[in-house]
Amino acid sequence: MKKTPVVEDIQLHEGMNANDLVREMKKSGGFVAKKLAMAVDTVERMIKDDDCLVFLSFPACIIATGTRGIIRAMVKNNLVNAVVTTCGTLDHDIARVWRDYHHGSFLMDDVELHKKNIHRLGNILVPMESYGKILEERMQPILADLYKTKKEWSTKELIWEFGKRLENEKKGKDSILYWTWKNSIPIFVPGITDGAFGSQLWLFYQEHRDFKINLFSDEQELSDIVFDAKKTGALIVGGGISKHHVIWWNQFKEGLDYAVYLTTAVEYDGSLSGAQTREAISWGKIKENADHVNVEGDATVTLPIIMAAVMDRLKI
Amino acid sequence: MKEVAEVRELKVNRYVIIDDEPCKIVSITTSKPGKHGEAKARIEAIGVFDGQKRSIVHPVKHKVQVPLIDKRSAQVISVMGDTVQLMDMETYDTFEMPIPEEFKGKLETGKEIQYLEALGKRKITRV
Repeated sequence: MKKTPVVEDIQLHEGMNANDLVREMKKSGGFVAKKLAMAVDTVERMIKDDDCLVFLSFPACIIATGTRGIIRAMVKNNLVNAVVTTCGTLDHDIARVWRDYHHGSFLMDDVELHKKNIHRLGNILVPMESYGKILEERMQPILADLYKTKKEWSTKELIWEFGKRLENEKKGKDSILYWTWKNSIPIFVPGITDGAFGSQLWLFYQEHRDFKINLFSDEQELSDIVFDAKKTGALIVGGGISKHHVIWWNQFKEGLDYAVYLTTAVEYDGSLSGAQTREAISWGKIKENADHVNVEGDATVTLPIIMAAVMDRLKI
Repeated sequence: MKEVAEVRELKVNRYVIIDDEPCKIVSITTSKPGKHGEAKARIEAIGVFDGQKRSIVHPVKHKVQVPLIDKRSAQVISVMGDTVQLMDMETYDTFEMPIPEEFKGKLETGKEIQYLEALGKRKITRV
């Protein structure tokens, strides 16, 4: 049998940082800890590779939590070149510039919460005033303004416009959207109508029937990004449309060169969300010889650890 | 010709302008405030002049345009094929209109009919 590294016990010491812990986890050999450590290596490599264009995709729920700070750090520090996400990300990111979300618990009484107009998102509480109403209040005047410039918009153009307008808000620089605009990182939401932000667009359309979202413009830009890239890598959090859209586009260049999936979904139901990196190889969405790893676990745990370690190595 | 009203002031069988067309309201359904924002009302209406079904959704406090519907009487002056010449009973203005399908064969010279006027257009409502 080929000799492989020996399993070593994790050694804890005072003053360890995330990167130190990750290095110990790699030596430990098992189970997801090892894969997480390998993911850190892969993410480090794809970011350091000058020829590689990095995609980041994630679903909205994590943006209702403090993990928003990790995504923000990634766009603020230009660690990624393109973002694909869902409408809810826009909702939470913008809402939290003006209002607060609060700690809660998975075990709270949802009927009571409904009576009090408090929405529950896992163990996060989103008071109704922190979400739908504030977005409606702020978005409609901005849309009226944007409509004067032109009537047809891609999701990326719209999102950047909103990011730009957060610049002078008190907590504007906490926003992911702000940094995607500031650093010119294209951000795409193919499922734009499926959330509060997109619903506000539809509401604006009620009285401006020539206001249009051009999804094909977004697709054209994704096409240009992929066709022009020498190599591509992706850090894909969760599943759904944001995951698929990234791997879908990478087919056009015969697959991703680097891929890290952070997932809680399981494979046995045949879902896209649960499909591991190796399955994408059969579709030409990840290259046969790609540097890829699937890390099982809740992204609110795995992503901060991974990025803390990566940023330490990049000395950010 | 038109005035402004808040969505929450609208009622079924009254009128609202949708896509520049005066429409008669057929139903109003409200949704409580939520993730989508403030309380909303979905208005279903039928175009007065084109009979087309239209629907629109707005926050209940949103201001919309309401057409002023003028219900008037006119006398038939003459019937020429598919067109009728009418004289308004109050202003004595005369005007011509195509005869709607439902009233073909029912218009006689001298007869009084009811019509409505909205946003500069007219429609015969009763013969």
